[in-house]
Amino acid sequence: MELLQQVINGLAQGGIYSLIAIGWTTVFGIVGVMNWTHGEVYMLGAYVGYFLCMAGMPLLPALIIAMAVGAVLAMLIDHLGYRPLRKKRKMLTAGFITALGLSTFLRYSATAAFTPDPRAYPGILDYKMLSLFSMGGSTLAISSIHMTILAATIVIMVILQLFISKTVTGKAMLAAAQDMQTLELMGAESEKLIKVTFAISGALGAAAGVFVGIIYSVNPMMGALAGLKGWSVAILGGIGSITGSLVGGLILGIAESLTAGFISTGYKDAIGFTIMIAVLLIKPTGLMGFRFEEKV
Amino acid sequence: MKIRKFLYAATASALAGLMLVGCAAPSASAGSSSAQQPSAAQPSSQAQPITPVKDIEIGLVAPMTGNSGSMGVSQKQGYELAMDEINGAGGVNGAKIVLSTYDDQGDPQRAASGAQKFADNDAILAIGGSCNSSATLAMVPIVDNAGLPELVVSSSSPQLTGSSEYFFRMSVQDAAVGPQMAKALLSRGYKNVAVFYVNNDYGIGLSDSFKGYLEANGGTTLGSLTYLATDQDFTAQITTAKGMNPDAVALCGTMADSGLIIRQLKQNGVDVPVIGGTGLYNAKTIEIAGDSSEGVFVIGVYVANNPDPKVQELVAKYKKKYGVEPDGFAALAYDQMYVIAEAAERALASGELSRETFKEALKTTNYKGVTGTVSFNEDNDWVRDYLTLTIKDKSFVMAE
Repeated sequence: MELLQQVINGLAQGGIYSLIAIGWTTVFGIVGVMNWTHGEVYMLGAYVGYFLCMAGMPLLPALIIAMAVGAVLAMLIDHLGYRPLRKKRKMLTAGFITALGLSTFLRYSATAAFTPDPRAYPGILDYKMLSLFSMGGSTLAISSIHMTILAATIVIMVILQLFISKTVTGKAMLAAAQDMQTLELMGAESEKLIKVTFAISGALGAAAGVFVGIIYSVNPMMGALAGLKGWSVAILGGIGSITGSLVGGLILGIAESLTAGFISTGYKDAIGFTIMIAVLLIKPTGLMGFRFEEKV
Repeated sequence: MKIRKFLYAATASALAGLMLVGCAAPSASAGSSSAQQPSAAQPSSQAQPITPVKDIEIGLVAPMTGNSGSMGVSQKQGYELAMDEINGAGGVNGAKIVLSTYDDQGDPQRAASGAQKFADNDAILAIGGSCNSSATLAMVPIVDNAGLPELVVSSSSPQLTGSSEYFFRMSVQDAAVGPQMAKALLSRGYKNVAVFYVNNDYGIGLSDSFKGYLEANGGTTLGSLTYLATDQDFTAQITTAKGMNPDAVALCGTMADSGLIIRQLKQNGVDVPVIGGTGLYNAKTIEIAGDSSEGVFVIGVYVANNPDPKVQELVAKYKKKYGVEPDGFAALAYDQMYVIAEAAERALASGELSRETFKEALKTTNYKGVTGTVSFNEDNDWVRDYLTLTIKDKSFVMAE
């Protein structure tokens, strides 16, 4: 019974990792930059949602505004941070360092602006434990908030998948993931595609931030670990694969929950990276990756 | 070379001579280091304390800005309120207490510079600070070397215990808070306890002292559940704890993580009494835990709505001067300034006020203040009783 409950806890937590990883993986898959600022967009999105909710706005509009801010922010980061590098063809050598620098800059600017103290959202979603199954006095339960987030993640994933496979822009993004330069030669505006990619990624990051803020609390350092987790989930699921991110996130969530429950919490954060290294050694394309070798 | 050697030898023998004569002769000739050496007492009777000619200068090295700035500001305000009262009532045998402040921004390197600055200034009798254990740890070797008494209100690291004979601590002791938590639970009939602790020096130290006392006095630790300071999701640990059917849950962590644990415990249906250490005594705990914070027990040394008239008097005075209620640091600092004044008076009564005699006088402190009766043990740590507080209507009150 406890085992099952731990698995359910893990699924609930995994939904959040998936949402973070989807934003991560789209940017890496298409633009090819390890965007370490994703965690910071996630953090800032959480703060936007926090301030709006504190001002009395209901959750849905607050979430949409936070996502819009996240989208603009991610585009701005790309415009100021990555685009100059792309123009000079220095993305491969300097992109990673720029990403780290930007991420540190945003993190500490947020610390200065919002103080390092954690803040809690006002209770805007009812936290109810929904019991799934009862046996011999103990009950399996999942919280309503976690269910909502898991559902939202799946909805977002389906919409994104449809967008990529059905629309021209989406198809162009897919093509860009293959070969940006050839696509440019064929007349597509790669810069525009990249903007769209960053906007989608930023919006998803901000949404994840708001959800996490509601369940837990927000603080300026929250992006650091989220960025790392998102990265290992993206590797696990296969870089560029949206379904892979979802599956990877759920697997990581369950693995962490079981580690914390049955081995030791001390290893909880390590397990994600152990899985990541194992995946890189055994199956570098990840669970659902399909384009990794060609890309690199 | 030869000349230099000769000079060394001459200086050394002259100094040795001085030390021998020093006991008998007036110390005017002792030179530059006179501030650290008690110069010989002027003939006077013990009953008639001497009025020092100068002000009594106290230094404060504490964060006034930065992440922990609010702690330093509280300490300074607590000092100033007490100084106003002491000076207004005629000072220490007529001498005024004056304070100079050095902002260390919570940074150990800056704290060390501040300590050095005050140590080099012979006019400084003693210093207060700093707030963060790491900053205070950086200051201790400097004050120890200079023979400069240092008093703190808020560095709880066990590493500081017995670190220097010049180091006096009035802050909360992790090793003493754990037993207090256990006592508070046992006295209310809760014996089987699940313990959550943050996996760092603070959490491990506190939970060990808690478990030690609990088990030695008839209680049982059902499980020790650890987590990392950065964790936000505790459902895995809570699920494990739930399976143990505890009478109560003890939290050995700080406000952010403990607030989340309190919230998630209630959300996951673990509805048993919760107790936390002094790390939880912060409004943020209540903000993060939300409604789940109701009824949580916390160990503290001071609470603004303590009905004790002494506390109420301080709250009223502090509010009048600064517009806010004093927090724990301010209350401890207020007491500390009186401890300093009393020790200075005792040192004067013994004939001479110097860093050395002041240090000796501090050792015999027995002052009944707002935050309890202050006295120091052989390690210069404060031995005291703690209060058990509880959260009621989103604020801390005295527990019944």
